[in-house]
Amino acid sequence: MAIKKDSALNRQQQQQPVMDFERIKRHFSWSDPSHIVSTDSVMTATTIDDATQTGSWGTLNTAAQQQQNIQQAAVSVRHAFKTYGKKKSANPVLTNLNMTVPKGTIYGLLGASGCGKTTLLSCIVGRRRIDSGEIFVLGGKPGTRGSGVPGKRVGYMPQEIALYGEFSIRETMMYFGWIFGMETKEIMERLQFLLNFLDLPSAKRLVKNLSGGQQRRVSFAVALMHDPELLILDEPTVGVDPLLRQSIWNHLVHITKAGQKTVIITTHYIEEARQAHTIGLMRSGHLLAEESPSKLLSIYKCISLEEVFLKLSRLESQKGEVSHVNFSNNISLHAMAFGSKMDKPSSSQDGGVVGLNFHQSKEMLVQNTNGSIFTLNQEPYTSPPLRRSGPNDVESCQDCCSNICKITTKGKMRALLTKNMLRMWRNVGVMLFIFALPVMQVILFCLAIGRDPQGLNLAIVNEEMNNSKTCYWEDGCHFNNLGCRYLNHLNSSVVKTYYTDLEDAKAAVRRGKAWGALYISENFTDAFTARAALGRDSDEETIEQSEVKVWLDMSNQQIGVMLNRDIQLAYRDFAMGMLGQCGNNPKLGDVPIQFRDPIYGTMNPSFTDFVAPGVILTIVFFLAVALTSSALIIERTEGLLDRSWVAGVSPGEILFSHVITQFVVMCGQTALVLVFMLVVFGVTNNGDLFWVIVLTLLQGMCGMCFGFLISSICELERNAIQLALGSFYPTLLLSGVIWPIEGMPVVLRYISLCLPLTMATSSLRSILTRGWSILQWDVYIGYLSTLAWILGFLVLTLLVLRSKRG
Amino acid sequence: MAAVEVRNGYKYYGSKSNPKIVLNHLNMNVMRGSIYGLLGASGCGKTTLLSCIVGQRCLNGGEVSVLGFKPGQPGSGVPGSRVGFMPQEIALVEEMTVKETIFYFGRIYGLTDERIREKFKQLKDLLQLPPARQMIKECSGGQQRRLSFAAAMIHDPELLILDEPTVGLDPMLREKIWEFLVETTRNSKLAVIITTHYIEEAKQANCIGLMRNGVLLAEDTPTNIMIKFGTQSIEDAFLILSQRQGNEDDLQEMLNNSNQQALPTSALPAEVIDTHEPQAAPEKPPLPYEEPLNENRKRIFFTTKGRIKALMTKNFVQLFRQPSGIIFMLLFPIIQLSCFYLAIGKTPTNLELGVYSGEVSSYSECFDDKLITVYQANDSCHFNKLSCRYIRELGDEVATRKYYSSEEDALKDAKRAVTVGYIHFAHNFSSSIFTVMEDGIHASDGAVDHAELSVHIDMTDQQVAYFMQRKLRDKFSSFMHSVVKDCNVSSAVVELPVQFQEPIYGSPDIEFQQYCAPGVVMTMVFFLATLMTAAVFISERMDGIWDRTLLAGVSATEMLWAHLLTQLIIMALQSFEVIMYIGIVFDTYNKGDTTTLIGLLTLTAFCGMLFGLFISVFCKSHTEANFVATGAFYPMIILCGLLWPLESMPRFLQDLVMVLPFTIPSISARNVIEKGWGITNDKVYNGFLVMAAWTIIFFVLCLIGIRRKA
Repeated sequence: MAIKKDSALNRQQQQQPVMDFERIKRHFSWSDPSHIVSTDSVMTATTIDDATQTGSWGTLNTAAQQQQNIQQAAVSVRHAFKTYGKKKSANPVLTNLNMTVPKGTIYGLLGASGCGKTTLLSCIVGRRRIDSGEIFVLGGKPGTRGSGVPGKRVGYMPQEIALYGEFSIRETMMYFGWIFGMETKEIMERLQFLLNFLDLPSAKRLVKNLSGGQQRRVSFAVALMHDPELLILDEPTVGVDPLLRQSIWNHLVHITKAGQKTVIITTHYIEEARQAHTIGLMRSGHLLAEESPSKLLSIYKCISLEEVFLKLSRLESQKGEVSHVNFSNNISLHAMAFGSKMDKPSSSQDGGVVGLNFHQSKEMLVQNTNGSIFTLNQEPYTSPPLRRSGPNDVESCQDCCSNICKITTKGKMRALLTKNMLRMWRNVGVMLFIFALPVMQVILFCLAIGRDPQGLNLAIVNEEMNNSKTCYWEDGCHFNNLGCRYLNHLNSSVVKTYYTDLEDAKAAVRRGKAWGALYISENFTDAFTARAALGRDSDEETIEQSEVKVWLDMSNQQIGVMLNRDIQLAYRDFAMGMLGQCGNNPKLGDVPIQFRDPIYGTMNPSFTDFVAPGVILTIVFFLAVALTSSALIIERTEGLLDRSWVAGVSPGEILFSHVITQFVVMCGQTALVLVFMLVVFGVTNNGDLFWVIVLTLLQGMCGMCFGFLISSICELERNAIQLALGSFYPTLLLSGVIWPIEGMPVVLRYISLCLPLTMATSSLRSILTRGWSILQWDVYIGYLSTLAWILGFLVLTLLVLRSKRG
Repeated sequence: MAAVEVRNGYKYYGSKSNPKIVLNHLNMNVMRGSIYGLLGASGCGKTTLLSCIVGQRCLNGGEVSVLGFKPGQPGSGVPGSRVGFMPQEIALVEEMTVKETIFYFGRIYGLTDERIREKFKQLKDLLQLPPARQMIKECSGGQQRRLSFAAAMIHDPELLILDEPTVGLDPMLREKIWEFLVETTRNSKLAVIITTHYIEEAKQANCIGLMRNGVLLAEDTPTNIMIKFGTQSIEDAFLILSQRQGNEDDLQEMLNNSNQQALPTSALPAEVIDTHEPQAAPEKPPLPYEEPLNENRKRIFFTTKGRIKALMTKNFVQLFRQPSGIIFMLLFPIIQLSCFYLAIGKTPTNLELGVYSGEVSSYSECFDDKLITVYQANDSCHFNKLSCRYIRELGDEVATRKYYSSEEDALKDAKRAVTVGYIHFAHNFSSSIFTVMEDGIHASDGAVDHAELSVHIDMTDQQVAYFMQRKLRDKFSSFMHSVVKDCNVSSAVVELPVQFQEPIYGSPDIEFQQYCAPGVVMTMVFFLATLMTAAVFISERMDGIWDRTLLAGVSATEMLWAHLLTQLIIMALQSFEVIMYIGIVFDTYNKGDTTTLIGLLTLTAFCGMLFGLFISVFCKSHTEANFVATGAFYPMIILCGLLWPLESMPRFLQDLVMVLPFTIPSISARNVIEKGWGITNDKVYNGFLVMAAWTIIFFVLCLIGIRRKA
């Protein structure tokens, strides 16, 4: 350990120049054809580097020997166990698996689909954890701080394309380049090189417009982007054109020639793996054999690897029934999950199956005849302890740095944000959903809800008119044609239709032609005058005749109540007008119950003002829910998430980038909604606009967190949307948006108060209509409850995620 | 004799001006009694070629003849009972048992139940099928594949098409299947087409076609191919051929550049080798294929009994074996309705109202039983602490009274929204009232002012405010009545000269809930039906069951009908449930004819169901369907006059809204419930007409869409 420390110290002094040199060298180690040819020179260079770093050959050797076991291997897995499912019905995927991938080689991992290959790989890149056993990748445990795995030391090419179709090739490369912390200039250089190298079309083409083969090559290019030390390719050749397959293999051989890079490749095509240096035959969760292909053939005296595999499988099946059961289990698991995947290797009867005979591969095979010597030969070049501790220390240092300063790097954030924005921008439907929907909802709402009904038919029988069509009256203190004078006060929302017979009028109401019938008797004026003069001494008949009789259709509550109010008010206006003009106190005509200046609001409150706060909040809340819940799930199903993950992006960073993107979108939505509500449709706002905006944004955040929760619970986008929409209607009904919560049964009222929108709505209502400040209890409780909900949703999300991981 | 013959097959996707060529003048021959292995990378056009062969798609140019006919021709039996198709995915209904699956396909192909049973037994032994009662989702992947294979074989087709059949199969079983295929083809005229990209597997085929970029690079027996190219494996031969043909991208580029012109195959950079020898013997003109007649084939105006039975069974099984579906179906309406009934439109309760009376020093005086507020003396009424009488009259049922000793306190609490407002009686309230009563219009202004009780209310909550106003007025008028009664004066004196008679319809105390209930129930019924059906075709298409059933010769229209019938039954159940629930639990009084109402609701649900089908026909994914359904839902709720009277909308919007499926029908429903009108009234049957019109529109659109898709 002392030696290690020493060397680390030494190297720290020279760290900067060496790193630069290393980077440049790595960048071109296999890109430049001349270099590839003269592999040796590169290797020597490496050796010299290392020598200078330590300054002593002796130290190097001791260290190398000490660490030999771990260091020789780029990846080493010891006694790995892993099960899926609950403890009782556990489904073992990895059973006591041991695997060693030497540095600078191609390792072919073979096996049927569902035998655990993908699980093993995801454990290697740190995506999953094994239940027991040990994994060392590039000298560190994957997933630990400073191991660089997942991160820039591994490149991963998943089975699916796992690229975002709406991106151009350049944008895709930029995205991953930024995640790996590369400079834009560096990325462009690399991009140019990869385009030529993999024969890709113009960088401006969108990925979705590329052919299948081109997409695969882009996917491959992404894995090569940052020139990783360990390259993991999951079935890169499934369903691929023979030519492309050949060129992929050619690449791999090139890459590993320099001895710096290690490649793990999985495939079903057993024969294809002949070009690998080492192959591992995997079956029901463990490796049956791990050797160089030529050695395997000679040991088992077979002509083809397929035969070897079959032989080994048979041997193992004979060993015990248990493993057989396992096997079939695995198959079923695989077939259910990946119905269309390739077949597992078959027991072909003919022996004469020979793999792909490329020119390169033949060369390789010649080399391979040396068997393990090949790998052994390479080992001394890479002085293991230094090579390991080198990047590790740098990494961990960077890590601590970044941990202290900030949680994430600028590059990653930039990449993630650009991605989110581009994705949204390129998707017209989503853009419409985001910005047109709230506007449309607000417009429809303001137009359709809460105004006073207009053009209500009222069937009127005024017997004072004597069947004439006109209803004439005079202003001033005259007591004639009072009926007409009264009718004049009925406001403009009423359409007056005159009938001569009361029964006709009533029939009209009964037939639904009018909302009510109003009857004024033939000596209404006289009776009214008499009543006013006589006061309480007036007789029954006078009183009766001085009355306006009304029959309403109350089947429509809103209209009925409104008409009732209007008719009464008209009488008040009429009476007060009369009294005023005759020099009496107008109040005498009024009902002795006086509604004075309201404490808040206007004498004529509108339903719109009441509902508007709730509508603003629900729109913002549920749009945020819909957007976030689907965004995360889409990301997961597309496979981009896995890929980014292996590139070293943590889920937290992804979440954070979504939060920021959402927040920007939300600001836009809030602005639109508020502008339309308050400016265009003139909903009352007596309060501080700043706090209105803050509360709206908070509610949006709350919706976003709810979206996160939904997306963590649901596997499928479809379920998520159903859940989001399903929760909408009850929330809308129960949150006191449409109807005051005072109208609910007591128990329900408490439930309602527990919903995320209730308190916030009443708080916003207080601000808008009452003009209250934040200091009022009723107002800040809305903010507090929203914050509490945000926290609650976040905690729940984390819990769900944790339980799912476990 | 050729079972399948493709001549100059040309097919592109996309627009004519910018075609993406998939099949480029492809020639192919499949002999009867042989196995044909179609090999190629994914995306080379294999699937397109197969779908052209079974008549699912049409070529843009060239000819296909299958079993002597053009596929899709009437009487050709293709698609139909002469071909068997096993798709790449499992494409079986997960919720069905093994036996049900076999019977489903058997019936679709028009076999008698007896024959199916017989065949099932045979296949069960051969393919080691799981027990008949096992559900498909409980089968292992290999079992599912075998079952899928069995389903393709059930009707002894003349042409069997297997798309990647050996994925996930046990090696032993794979061998068995190959053996079986080899055996059958040798002994019968059965032609088999197998696709795979696992090239070595195809060695046992009689003939293989190597496909790349829409052309067959070679078509010959496996041995011939290997000999010809001097390789030891087909894979190598394929590689050599590919190298000759050239880079994939260049080819694509060429194809794209040469736009629409028919590109002769010879123009391709590498020569295309068609090693197939043309058949020497002239082919006999095909005999018209006759469908065997049996009881299951009896035509019922456009479909057969067997098919409808099969489809219906499938739909029901699918529905009822999904517990979440059932729960959703039955519980969701109840939850929704309960939410609505409990939360919306009830009279606000538990309000607090501040009371301040200047007349009393302590409010306990008011509740003193000995207090006399009205006494008669000198032919006139005298009042004492009348405010107490009103306070008592007010009671606590409208709002809980809260007493204040000063107006400032009352105002303060109202400002803080502790109370909804407060009533204020002047210190000489009683005497002022006396003065006003005595002096009438000659009363002094001060007396008139003080004789009023003034009310300050928080008007921000319109509903609560209006409610309070109304209640205070009502209480005041009953208070005045009782006062004048004690004075022995006619009660008419204190009444407003506007008299509201018993309403013609409804009650004076009608609640908001009663107003919006018909609309809410209707939208709920409509959209529940929509939600249920919106996914039907989409999930069927995604699972591949759709294609598979179409290939079995079932027309899309038949599928539509089968779904329609199934959903109809469920929907009837659901609307029944909703109506019962409303009727029993919430006791919504209905003045009209219940059957009319049920009829209208059922029609609504039916319309909703068709809307759902319409969505599922036109949408490609569940997400899309969900967005369309909700996108339609919310505007509809706002616009249909459910929450707020239509009369309040701007004129143009009113006219527009009348066309929507809910507006007029919910008015009809309200007319039935509140006014008790019968169906003969035009304002009631209007609703029926509108609903029916929409139903027909949706149905026609569904038919058009489904025809276009098929």
